[in-house]
Amino acid sequence: MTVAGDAAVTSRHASSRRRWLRRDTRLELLIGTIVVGATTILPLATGSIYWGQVFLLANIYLIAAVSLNILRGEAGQISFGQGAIFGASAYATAMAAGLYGVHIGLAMAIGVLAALVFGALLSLPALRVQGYYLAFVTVAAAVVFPELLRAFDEHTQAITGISVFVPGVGSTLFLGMDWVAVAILGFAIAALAAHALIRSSRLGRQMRVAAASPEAALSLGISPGYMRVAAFGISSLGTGVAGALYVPLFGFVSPGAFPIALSILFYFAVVVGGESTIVGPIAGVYLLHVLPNNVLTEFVEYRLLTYGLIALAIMLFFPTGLIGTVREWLNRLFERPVDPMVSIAPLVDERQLAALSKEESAERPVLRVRDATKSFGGVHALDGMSLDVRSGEIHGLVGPNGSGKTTLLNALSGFVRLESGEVAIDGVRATRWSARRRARDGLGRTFQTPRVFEDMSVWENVYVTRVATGRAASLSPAALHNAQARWESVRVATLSFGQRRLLEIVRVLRSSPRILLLDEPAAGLAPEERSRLGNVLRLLSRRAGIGVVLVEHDLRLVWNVADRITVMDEGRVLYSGTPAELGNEALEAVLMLGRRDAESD
Amino acid sequence: MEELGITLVRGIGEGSVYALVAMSMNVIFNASGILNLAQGEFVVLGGLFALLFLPTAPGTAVWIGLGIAVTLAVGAMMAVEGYVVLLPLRSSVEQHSWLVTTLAAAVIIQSLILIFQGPDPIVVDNPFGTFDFLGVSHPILYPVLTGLAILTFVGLRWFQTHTLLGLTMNALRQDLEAARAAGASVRRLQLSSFAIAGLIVGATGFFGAPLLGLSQSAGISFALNGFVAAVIGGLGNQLGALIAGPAVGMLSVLSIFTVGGEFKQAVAFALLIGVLLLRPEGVFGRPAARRV
Repeated sequence: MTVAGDAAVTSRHASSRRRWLRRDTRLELLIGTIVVGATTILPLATGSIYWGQVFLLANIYLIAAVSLNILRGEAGQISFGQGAIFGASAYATAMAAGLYGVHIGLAMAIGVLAALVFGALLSLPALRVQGYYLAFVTVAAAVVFPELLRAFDEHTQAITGISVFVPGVGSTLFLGMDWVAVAILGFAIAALAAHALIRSSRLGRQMRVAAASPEAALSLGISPGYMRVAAFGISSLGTGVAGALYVPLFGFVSPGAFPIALSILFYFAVVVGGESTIVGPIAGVYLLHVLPNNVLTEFVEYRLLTYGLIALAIMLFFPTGLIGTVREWLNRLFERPVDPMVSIAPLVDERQLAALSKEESAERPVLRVRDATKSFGGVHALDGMSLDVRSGEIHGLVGPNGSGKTTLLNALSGFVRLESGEVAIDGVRATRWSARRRARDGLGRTFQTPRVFEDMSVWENVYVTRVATGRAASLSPAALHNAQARWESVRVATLSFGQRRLLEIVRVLRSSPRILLLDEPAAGLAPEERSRLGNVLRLLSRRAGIGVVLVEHDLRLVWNVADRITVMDEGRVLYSGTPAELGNEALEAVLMLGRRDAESD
Repeated sequence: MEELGITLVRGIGEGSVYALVAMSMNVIFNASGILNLAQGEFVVLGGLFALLFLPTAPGTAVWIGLGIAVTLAVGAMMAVEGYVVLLPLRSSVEQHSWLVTTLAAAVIIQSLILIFQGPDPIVVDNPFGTFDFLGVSHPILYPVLTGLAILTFVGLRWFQTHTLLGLTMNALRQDLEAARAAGASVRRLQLSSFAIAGLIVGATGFFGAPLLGLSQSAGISFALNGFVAAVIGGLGNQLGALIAGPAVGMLSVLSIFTVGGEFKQAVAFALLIGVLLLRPEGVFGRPAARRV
């Protein structure tokens, strides 16, 4: 069978095995749908108007909490301002329908639009700052929002509130539900499903990677800024839908309905239920909203207190939230010790590489650095460094700690901007390219501490990016496909350090790089793993024509596999040449430098 | 002319309160990387104690004596908050748990004030008189608050350079891991930073109570304005906070004249977003760390 035929077969296989929902989200989604469906339909069908109303409002809050959960749990962003986005949507809907007589459907669309605009405004600072900054910015927005509604009283009727007549409310369609109840139930389930889908999708994985390590995201060609904007957009959309549904449910809005406490409720609901769990927000909303407001009605003055105490207690005793903790228990109960064995060799299809090697193996410079300088606070990390890497070549880079190896890798991959000097990728001047552009152009790298993501499976860690088109595949699609079932069931948290390193290398290789920068890939590997790694690197460089830069402290490995070695010290080239040319003199020099380094420590 | 006088005296006076809150936030931030979202609630507590315990016409001695007692009490209370907030950080992987725990602390304090005191404004008599400046009479308390801010700044500076506790806390700011390796008891230092911050805001709340318009729900706006001042001054930079606080205060009083009092908070919010978009490291700046 031809190579091309093989590829066609495997790609058909791969698409047939595509899964819309992660295994662990399926059960959660099912439970969530049943709980939401039952709590909504049962009271309405049995004619309990009070409880019907209670759970319809709870479901509206649920939609907002799930939207925030996508932002918090998947994209790792903080927002204490979701109540303001919710309020913006509700107010825009009510103003359009109640003051300007717009049809309720159109008014709700206007409301969602308002939420998107307001959410975009709120997410602007997220492009520049993270963490606690974002927390305060969004808190400020939540505080300012009701104040602004009151300040523009002549437009918002903040003092009297806005009444909206909504046609069709109270006329039962089925099971005691009017169109509003049906819409709320539908959107609540849709929100849960949307979260499960995003969590299972490539977009969701990219969001999680960008949240856990922006550098790793950039090195894979993912823009963390784009991921944040996407997450804020999705969550504003959901929160906007929730806010718009609030209007037909109550037929009345006033600024008092959207205090900062509402924003805090949404955030606490997510954290108490369990970030990134599908059913977590249901537990959170029921526990923090329904329980103190509608069940413990005799203790209404203690409502705020209960709610603060619950949040505090959960954070202290179940830091991953209620459902998150249950998920951990289940993981521990049902996780069979499997042999994860991430190894690269079986994934490399020698036949395929051999077929490609004819055109790819012509040695041309794929990476060129000239006179690079960079200093940190007066220390010259790079001081006129030059380096040439050809396709199909392994270039060893050695030198003592602090000699500038990692700075050079960072400058090559675009994380550090050079003060002077040039970088060229495949003959094209790339000095000013962003890290992301370099990654997209075929420059892959690994990090000294492997950037792998613990709460994702091995498979999810590998399938983060789209495979680049137009470059020869480094890994065999068929072999990857065969590994899928095994990898799907293993969480990275159970992997050893060495295994994590190999996993990171597999992930980079899957994007078929032309240049591969490896930062101490052998650290933490067992001796036999090291020699296997060496063989694979040789195979990849020779047959697939990848130019490899190997920063490594294991000098024996470097001298064994490298075609060319550069010895660095104090940001400059000390020696450069083939292992044979360098001979023992250079090897001893490196050892001497290492010793000097150790003594000066 | 009158507006200029009011802007200067009230702006700098109210701004001194923001500077005090900002400096207290910086103390905790420098030691632990935590920004206490409940900081404003402790200002309210300081004021509430003034309302509860001050006799109708207190002499200066009583006023100052009680002030010191309340300051110590609020310091102790914030240390308790700090203890709880620091608890999950010992083992948890959730490094952002403090966002939730400090916010929960704010909610709990608010609810306790609501239960025992109700939502009414906390009104405390002003024991000082007034003085004339540019044709308008102003409470003497405004410059007193500015004095308190300067005193706090000098006191913190002295503490950081002349006491062992201060020196090690300063080391924490430079490098947490190194301080831990050098045998510093990081947890105890961080707890102390909460206590010191509590002293600052407790004094602020008690002595500023007659002018601050405190109420059960006012805490969050003090935390926000304090944060705005801290960010403009450069997070962690005490001198920056001391200067930025009055600047924010004057701008906010000025905004009452120009766009109206209902936009006061919105102006501070716009200022915050502007600074974060244009110069997130603050006007006084900090060098950026290496990313990889």
